[in-house]
Amino acid sequence: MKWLAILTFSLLTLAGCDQGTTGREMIEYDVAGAPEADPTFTDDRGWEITLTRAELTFGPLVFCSHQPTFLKSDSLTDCGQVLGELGAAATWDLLAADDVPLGRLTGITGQVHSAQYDFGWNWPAGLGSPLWRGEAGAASLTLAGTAAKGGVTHAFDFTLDAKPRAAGLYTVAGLAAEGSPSPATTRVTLAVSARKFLRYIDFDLLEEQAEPFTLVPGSALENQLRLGLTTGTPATFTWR
Amino acid sequence: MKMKTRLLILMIGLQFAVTTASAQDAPPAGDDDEVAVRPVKKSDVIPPKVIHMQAPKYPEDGYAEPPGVKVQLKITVTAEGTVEQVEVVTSGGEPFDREARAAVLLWKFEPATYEGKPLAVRIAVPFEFPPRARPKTPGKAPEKTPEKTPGKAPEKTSGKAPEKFDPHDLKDGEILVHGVRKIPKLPVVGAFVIDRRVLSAAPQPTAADMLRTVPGFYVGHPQGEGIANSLFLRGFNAEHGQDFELFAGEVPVNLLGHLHSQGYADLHFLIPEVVHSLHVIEGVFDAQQGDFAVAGSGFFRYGVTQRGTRLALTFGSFGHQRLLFLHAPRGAHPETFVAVALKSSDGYGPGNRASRSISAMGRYHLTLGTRTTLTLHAGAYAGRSVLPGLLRLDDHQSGAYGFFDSYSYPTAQAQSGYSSRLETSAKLVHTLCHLGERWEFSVYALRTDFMLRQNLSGFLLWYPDEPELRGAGDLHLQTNLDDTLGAKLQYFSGKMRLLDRFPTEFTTGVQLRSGNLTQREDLIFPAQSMIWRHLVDAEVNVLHAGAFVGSATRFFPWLNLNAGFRADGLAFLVNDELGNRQYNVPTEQAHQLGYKRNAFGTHLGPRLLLEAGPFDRLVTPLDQFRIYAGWGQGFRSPPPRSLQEGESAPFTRVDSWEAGLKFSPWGEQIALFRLAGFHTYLDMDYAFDPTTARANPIGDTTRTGGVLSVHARPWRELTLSASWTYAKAVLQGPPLATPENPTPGEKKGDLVPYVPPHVGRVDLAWSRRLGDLSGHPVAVSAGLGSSYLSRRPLPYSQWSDPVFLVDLSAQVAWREFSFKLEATNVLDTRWHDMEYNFVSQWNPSQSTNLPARHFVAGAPRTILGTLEIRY
Repeated sequence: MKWLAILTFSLLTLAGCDQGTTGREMIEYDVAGAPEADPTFTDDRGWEITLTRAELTFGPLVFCSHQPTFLKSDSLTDCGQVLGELGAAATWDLLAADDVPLGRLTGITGQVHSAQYDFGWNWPAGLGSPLWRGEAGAASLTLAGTAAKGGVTHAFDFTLDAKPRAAGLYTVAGLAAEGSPSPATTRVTLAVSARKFLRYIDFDLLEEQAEPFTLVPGSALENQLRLGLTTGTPATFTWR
Repeated sequence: MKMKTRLLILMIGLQFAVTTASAQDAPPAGDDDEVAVRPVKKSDVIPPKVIHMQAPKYPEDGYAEPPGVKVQLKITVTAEGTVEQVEVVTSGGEPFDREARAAVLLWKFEPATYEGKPLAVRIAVPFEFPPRARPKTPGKAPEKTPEKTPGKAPEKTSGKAPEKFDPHDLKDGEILVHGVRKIPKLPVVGAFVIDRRVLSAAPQPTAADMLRTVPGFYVGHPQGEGIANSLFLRGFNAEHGQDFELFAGEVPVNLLGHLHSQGYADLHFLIPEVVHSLHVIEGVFDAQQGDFAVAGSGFFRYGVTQRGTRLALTFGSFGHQRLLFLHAPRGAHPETFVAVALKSSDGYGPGNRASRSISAMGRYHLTLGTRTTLTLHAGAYAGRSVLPGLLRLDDHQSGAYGFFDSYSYPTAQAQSGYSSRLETSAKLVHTLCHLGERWEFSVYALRTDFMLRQNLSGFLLWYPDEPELRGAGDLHLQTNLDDTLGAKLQYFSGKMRLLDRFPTEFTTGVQLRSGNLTQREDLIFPAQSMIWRHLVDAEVNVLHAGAFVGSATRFFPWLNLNAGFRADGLAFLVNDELGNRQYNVPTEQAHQLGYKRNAFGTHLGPRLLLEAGPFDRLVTPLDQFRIYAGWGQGFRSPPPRSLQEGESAPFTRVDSWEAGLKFSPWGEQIALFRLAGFHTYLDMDYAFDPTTARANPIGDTTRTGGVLSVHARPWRELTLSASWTYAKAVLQGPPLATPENPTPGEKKGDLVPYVPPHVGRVDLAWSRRLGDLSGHPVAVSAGLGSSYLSRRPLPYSQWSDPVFLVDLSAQVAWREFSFKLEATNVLDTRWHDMEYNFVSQWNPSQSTNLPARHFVAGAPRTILGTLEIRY
């Protein structure tokens, strides 16, 4: 009887031991947008841009295990293992003085190699059209201000809706993003540049129209701004 | 003068020397320890039957006064039916003793059997010599020569042998195993023989559930009866059989290179009532353990000990119906029977687990002369089940779906499983001498069909070259057709002496197997099974040749050494019709699809086992202990389609260590405790990935743990079997980087997912005779089975819920009738039969690609009643 009690105690003790984990863990951390460094800048064509309003709707966001140069499949659309998801979208005032919280991301630990994201418009697989996941009345990108060069000043007020090109795809995919979120990670900070957004727009070549300049759907100007928003390295991510 | 022929046949006491190498049932590993420690009643034993008697000569120099001379001998009737170890119990004088000895050594028996297996027994045989006066002329021999035919002997020149030999008429006596051990005898603590008493204690819905009675074993039913059970043993998630070698009779159950799971072992074809015993080796220590013997091996032995014809009808919860017909001719060998079982059930839940099946099998054991037996076997099975699939835990917790529900989408409602199996085999055993030397040859043919429609991940899968089909649904259609031929030839040396000194036995043999597999996997729309993506279209030919040699030697009465060696070669020919597919490259512009390849590899595996004890001849206080230590190397064949051209067919190499002791403080007849520690290393392990519905490589792993078990029979009516197993399964390094996962997040020391650290099991059987009713005995029995499964680690550091289940059974039998009531999950626990943590998309408008917990609902309380008629 005595050793039966010892045995029972031993088994219970053993059963209660810390068994460890299977390694990777589910984690959560904040996503924040860093403020635009300077609302006034000069573009490559010499135009001095002054932004009076700059709002970006950002999300959903996905962090991926795939290298963006992965050749076996379509590196721009294949994520591999998803290491983080921000399911909602938030509208971000790029001219705000401080970091802007964009939401809370759920993910797993591991090495992030790339990212995919939308600008409010998200098109889940299986649906016939994209869904707007941002704030009501907002757009993917709103940029307003003036462009001045040689005594000529143009006012502009651009409002762009950037949508994925097909169901199940993100508007921006295959973007390099290196980070290794861990349970100690509290935040990933996103930085974008309005200067990059506007880099394909040549104010010298804008067609005559009543100011402020606006975007006409299907116009070259709209395509230029869309390219600026979605290509190159439009965003960078920093984990801490 | 006609001699009085009254025969005196007295049972002084039967002592049984249970032999582990019985001709028909010799297990690949030693066994019978379980049997060997239990006292059994005489009525449980089918006694030896004399097939040739030889009357003794009347000794020329023997003279007896009236009423004559009696000589009583004690003899051993071996498992081969010969006579050994003749001992004079009551002497009638040297001349009579001598002739009685000479005569009895010429007797031949049909050996005694216990639970269908021949065994050696020790019995008493009396001889009676009539009176004979001394001649007046001493030294004159009798004129007549004694007859050799009993009953015809001249009265005055022959002694008398029993005219009949029917031990049923003998006085009852406790039949005890006296421990005459035969070599080889596998002394591994991890070797278990589960007899019928334990197997039938608790409700065992399927033959696979019998494995739960083995220490450390847990059997899951993740998809009802549509798919093979999930097996867990000693820290291994053996999936559907990839880590556990299984045989039913002579025919392997594991299938080579199965599309759904390597080593796929579906035991639903097996009718539990024709299973005589289950032999399990945990670890890899026997030379005969081959492919898939990673965590161990299990051998279902056929046999029906309760002879006669049985008709059993079962009704119960959820529309469960089962009809069993079993015919086992009286007087025939236990392996002679035919059985058919028809089963149907609506299954628990809202109609998402309905199943139908039929299983038929027959065996015929034929004796060819006195030294040769032939066992013929045929069996067929077909079954179809609706599958429930998996349910996300968050969907259940939100109230969107009930605990037993399936998703309402057509792609989820279309899940089903189908399998069929046709097998036939023959086994020839030819005994060369009474010391056990023999040859065994078996051959089998096996055909299996498998079709599975399963969607575990919802609407997740898509392919970059067909982005427009994203969201089409991940309903996999897998088909695997397998034709296999196999043979085994094995020689047993029987008892011999090494260096003319050490008792030893030696065995060697070859195992051959050839399989042809046709495999296809598509992603389909549920309507008409329309295909939206071809995934696999392959034909595979596999040849497996293995040879082994093993020996068991007793160097001292307290020291045995088992040594063995095994060599295997596996050759693969793969015709992969969809090979060389490249994404985003128009195939017709570059090449045609297809990748034909071959691969070959070999594996060499030594096995060693040392047993020491009991030490009563060395140190008296230690006569209750035996200790063991063993090491062996095994292997598991690779999934054929994972092989590349010319690749040295990589095996998963297994190193298995074990050390332990047995302890019997009150005698092995009363209780036997076992305690063992084990360590297993695999150089390439696999873990199930529900998204792809396949096992994916995770690198090298180890299992370390211990097992404590007890088998006790404190009273004649009560049998207890209980065990507790602890195992820690960890990665020894991160998995290999792949293009899909260039930076694996796992590291050395992380737990292997899905493996329960703790497994407990209790089986309790009780039976007794209540009394008589109308002059016929009324017998009652009851059983309890309880399983505990600790929390299982899931991927991404999640843990499943623990499982605790209690099953009960009760039976009453009178005359030809019996009624059995079985209840499983009597506590009506809401439990998860399996849990996974992986990515799925079951809500198209809220897509997520993060892992989530999924579960398969375990069966609620289920009550079955069975009425059986025997005649």
